[in-house]
Amino acid sequence: MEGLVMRKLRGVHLAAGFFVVLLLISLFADFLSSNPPAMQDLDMFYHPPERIHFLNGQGQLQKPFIYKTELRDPLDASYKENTAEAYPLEFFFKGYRYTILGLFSSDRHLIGRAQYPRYYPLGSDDLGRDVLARVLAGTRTSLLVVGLGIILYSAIGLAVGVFAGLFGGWVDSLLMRFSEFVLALPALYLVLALRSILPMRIPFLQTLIWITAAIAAVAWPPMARGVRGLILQVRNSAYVEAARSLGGTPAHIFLRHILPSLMPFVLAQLAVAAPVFLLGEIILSFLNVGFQDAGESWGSMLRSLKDTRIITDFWWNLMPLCMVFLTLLSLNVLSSCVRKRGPEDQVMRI
Amino acid sequence: MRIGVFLLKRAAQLVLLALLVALVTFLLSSLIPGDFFSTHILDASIRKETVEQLRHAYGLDAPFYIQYLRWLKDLFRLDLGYSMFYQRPVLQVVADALAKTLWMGIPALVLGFGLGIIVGTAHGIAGQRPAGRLLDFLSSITLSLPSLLLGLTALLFAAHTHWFPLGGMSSLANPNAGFGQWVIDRVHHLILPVVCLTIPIFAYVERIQYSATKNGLEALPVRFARSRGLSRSRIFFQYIVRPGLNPVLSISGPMLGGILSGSLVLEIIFAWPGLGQITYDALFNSDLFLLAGCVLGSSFLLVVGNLLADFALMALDPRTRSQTWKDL
Repeated sequence: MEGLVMRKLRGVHLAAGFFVVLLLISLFADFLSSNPPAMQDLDMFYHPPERIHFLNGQGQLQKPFIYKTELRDPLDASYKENTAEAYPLEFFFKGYRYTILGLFSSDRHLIGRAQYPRYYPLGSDDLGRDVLARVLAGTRTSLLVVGLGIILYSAIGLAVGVFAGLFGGWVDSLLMRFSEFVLALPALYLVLALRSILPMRIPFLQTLIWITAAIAAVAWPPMARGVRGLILQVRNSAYVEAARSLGGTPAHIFLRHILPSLMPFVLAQLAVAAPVFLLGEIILSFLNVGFQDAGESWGSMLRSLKDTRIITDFWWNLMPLCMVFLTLLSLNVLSSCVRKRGPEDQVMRI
Repeated sequence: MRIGVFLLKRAAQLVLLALLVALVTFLLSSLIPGDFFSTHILDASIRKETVEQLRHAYGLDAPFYIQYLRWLKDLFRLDLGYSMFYQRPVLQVVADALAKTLWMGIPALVLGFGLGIIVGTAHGIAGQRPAGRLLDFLSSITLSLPSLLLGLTALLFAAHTHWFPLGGMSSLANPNAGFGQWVIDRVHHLILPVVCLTIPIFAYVERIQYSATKNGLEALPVRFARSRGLSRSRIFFQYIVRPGLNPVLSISGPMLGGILSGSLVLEIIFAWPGLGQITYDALFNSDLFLLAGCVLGSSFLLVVGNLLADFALMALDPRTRSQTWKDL
């Protein structure tokens, strides 16, 4: 029994740990990457991950360095190291300027080279862009979408649910019919249509807000319906009646008695919604209507997998695929943990 | 008969829903800048008046509610309009595409639901035994594999091994091939997309069936049946499996419509000319009538799915018979 509990905790801890790592990555994405994620270098397309050397030609130990590589055959994108000159890797070097959360500005990067030949830790893609830098920047994009998404989702869901549950009558039935209507819409097409109202090329922040809002606009009904059902239950319960008979004002009863009782359900529902936003953004970007190539996203990186040589020759481009899988896995493990803690039947009902 | 009234009411609700969805389509496409003929303006060889004439001929110069009312009027004659891109009646295009989507969707639904129910029940009964833990693991993995990831991986796999074709519905190499060869070719093209569509459905169904079975094991009727000394197989089938199917069946209706969203991505990855692909193209070509037809087609799937699910629920679970009628 003891061992069982430990095993379960370990899985959840692993997932939570991975998520913390993702958060840190998204904060320090620019610090960790050596090249700007949008920078192209057409002489370096599909370059494999660069090897770090410690021994020079005479077999002596040196500070870590790389060799310049030359394109051997443009048809199969094979490169050859030119061992004539060694280029040392620099730590905490001055590279491109970036800001963290719009607050701190810096131009220091962990490891890499500021000048040509540049250092590509995880190789480059078809346009010679740094795969690692793009994966890291994509992590930030994905987490931003998930974060903003669950805020919008709970705001719309709670507002509609509370409104319907407290007012009742025709307001309630109107809102519930509307939510059934939204549930019945083919969600992905609606999101696509909502997205195509705006022009295809819009700035990063605008894309972020619009995509997340479009997903939230079709995703809110389960939350609203669940909240409304719970409110209908709670408002007739003994403790609310007791509070009312003791002279509690409606605002007091709502804030102190009804709202707290909704929280387990809201939390569980948020855990269910997070993967929806993550995957929604990735699918939209994959379909060319989300973040464009310059606004890094795992989804727009996945588009390059249509080149089927990737699995055999350019395997490092599979990185975003692994990241999507691992992030979804950790979100699912976390959400099943939250659901186990919360009252399960309330999730099942919707 | 009450069941007739129930069906009529239900069908009326769903038809109303489909018409509302179509209204939203017209509203949204009036918000989307440009129409099908916008690109014609850039073409110097087409006169401006010609474009205006074309717009007028298709009724695109009217406000969206007028367009909607005209479309509604023609709908009574089963005329869904004319696709500007394909230059064919919308009804034909949509029916073709719907058949192709179902060609991929129905095997996936049958497999996903069948396997999901069986494995989910086994999972619920296995509980915390080693087999149950293994299934816990399997369930979390499959839940984290959306069709986008599966499709791309399958495509790369096919490219690497050359065991499967890289998409498409058939290879039209030999028009004189016999029926047997035709079937083998079709099935060969079908395997990868179906597997990729099955796994997410399986994961979802398995999760729901698992918790239904787990809760059912401790339910009062089961305990009571045990104390009455009923046989194990009777308890299993009548008291655990049969009531446990209720949650899965209630999601099965929306799922039939939901496979469209899942198959949109797969259709694009595997170059499958189904409803998802057609809708996606119609949206970006601003092919308004085709878009409305596609939305109507997917609502049709949803309607059929929900009705089938209602029937199955009523047949299997006597509790729902009175309940669904009361709700209406």
